[in-house]
Amino acid sequence: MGKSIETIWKKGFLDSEALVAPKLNNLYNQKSKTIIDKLKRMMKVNIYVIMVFAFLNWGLYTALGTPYTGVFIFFLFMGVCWTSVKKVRTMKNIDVSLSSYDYLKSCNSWLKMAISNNTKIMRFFYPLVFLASLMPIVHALRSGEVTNAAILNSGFHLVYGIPTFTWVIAIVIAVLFYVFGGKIYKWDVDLAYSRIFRKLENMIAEMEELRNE
Amino acid sequence: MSNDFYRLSILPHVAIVIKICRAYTNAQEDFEDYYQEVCLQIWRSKDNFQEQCEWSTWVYKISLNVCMTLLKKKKKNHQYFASDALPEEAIEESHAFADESLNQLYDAIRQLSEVDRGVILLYLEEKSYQEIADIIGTNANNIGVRITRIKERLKKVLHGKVN
Repeated sequence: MGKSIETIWKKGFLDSEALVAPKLNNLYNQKSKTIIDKLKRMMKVNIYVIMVFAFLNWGLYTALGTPYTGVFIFFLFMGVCWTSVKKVRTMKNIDVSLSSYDYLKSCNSWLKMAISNNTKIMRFFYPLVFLASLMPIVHALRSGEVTNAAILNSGFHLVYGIPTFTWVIAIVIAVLFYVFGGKIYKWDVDLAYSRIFRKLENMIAEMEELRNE
Repeated sequence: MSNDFYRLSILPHVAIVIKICRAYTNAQEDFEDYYQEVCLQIWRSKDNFQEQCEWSTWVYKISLNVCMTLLKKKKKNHQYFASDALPEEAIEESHAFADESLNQLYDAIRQLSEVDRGVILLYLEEKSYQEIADIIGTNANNIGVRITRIKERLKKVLHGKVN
């Protein structure tokens, strides 16, 4: 007759080697790889989304009668993609053989550097996209007979068929986009990555606590 | 985590941590990952420990919760089936112990659902139904019925293997 499970259990663990604890080393090893891999995947997806937006905008602006603006916005978005791809490539330079802590710290520093560089680019990107987005409106106002006549009869000083004061307002808004571009970009990044950034920061903080105890 | 914390708070209960981690993993590498994660979680949750239960019960709870969560995540990642048992082909036989019967018992336990594994481990560790119910978060009557069902199932699996 077979042994009961209770007997197997008791007898099996009489052997002292059955319960040797593994060494506690490389804590966070797997986790650190997982979180950075996830971040890389998210960045990749983000780049693809921007690319799709570039094509969509091109199509949209062409449909709205401003194909050149469409091309301009397309290259603007693709430029952002190109710089992002270039930056993501530099992430590969981070030595994966480092300890988990050093690896995460390096990745975190890389992220901060990338965000800081992107902020500079985005301060120009947002105003340019804003100004470009006005072009279909300008086009519609100028090509519509009623609106065009109304503008011409308004007595306002015109630039490119549009009252100068509206250009001034547009430029002021574009300047505001430039001034607050960094904050807008930060908000944009937080929207997509805040959870993973927080997780990364918490992990580093916890590892530091572990190292210091 | 300080050496003192590990030595004084985890090492005295290391046997159960190992036994639980083994029940949720096949490969040695996974076992070590689970073990580390359990130790880390015990250290993390040390401030939440209230003396309503014994420290050992706390260690059981954390070990089981961590292992169940990690296994669920792993299953999700590998798109395993969400049923009680893993498919036959997904079960690797492990040889973590010198005693072959114990290896077979562990292989059988690994075919149970996450919760059933916890229940049978606690039963084999001679915890009372009430203690098991407290740790798992159910009532003692339920545990009695469940253990009978699990034992039947383990017997069937082990009998099948022996034959």
